[in-house]
Amino acid sequence: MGFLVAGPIDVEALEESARRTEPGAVISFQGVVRPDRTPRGDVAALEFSAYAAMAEEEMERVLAEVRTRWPEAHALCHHRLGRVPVGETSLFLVLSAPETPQAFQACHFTLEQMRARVPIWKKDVFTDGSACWSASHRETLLISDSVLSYPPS
Amino acid sequence: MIRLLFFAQLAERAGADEMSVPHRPTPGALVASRVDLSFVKPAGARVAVNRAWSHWDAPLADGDEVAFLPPNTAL
Repeated sequence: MGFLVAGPIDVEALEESARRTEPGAVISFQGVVRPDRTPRGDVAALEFSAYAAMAEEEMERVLAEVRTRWPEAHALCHHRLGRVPVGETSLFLVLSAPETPQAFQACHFTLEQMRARVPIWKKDVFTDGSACWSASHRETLLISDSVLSYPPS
Repeated sequence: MIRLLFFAQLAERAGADEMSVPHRPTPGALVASRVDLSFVKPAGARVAVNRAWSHWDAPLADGDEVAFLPPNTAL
């Protein structure tokens, strides 16, 4: 399976796969579509599109850099394309490593590199069926806030 | 020829997902040579050549694939 997927992400299967490396730490991250209320309307879903061929190659380059920087870390990541309703997971990343600092650092690095380099875009889809390109981040982080500030700057 | 790709709001502005245009030496020269591509730089587009991030002054070869990409918003 590639990085980009059309349907729901099997989070449990990916976490189970990450545990097969017998890690000391497993960090999982989910981007979840949030029910934002905007002046334009209430968000019912996000619709994701990508430059798919480049997104797959760029994500593989990011994961290769993760393997170079943290050789003992293991990363799995999937991002959905198409319409994702409020409450569903659009992005799942799981990082496993022998030690906690490695896992946190690799997770932070992967997310930041993805944000900057992997060409994916989203549209807000409102309850009245209209849609517009989104310029802001509308996903909720279902992980400890410490991940995004780790390591301390 | 150069194959141009447009994504997200840039595809809507272009009215197409892709087009083929005559070779120009760089992506910057390419957009400067066509009125119908004048929206690309003001829209804040970044450029990729053959599925890798590139820059406006990068040399182009005949047959290259040039993509104009709006800022990422998925994460």
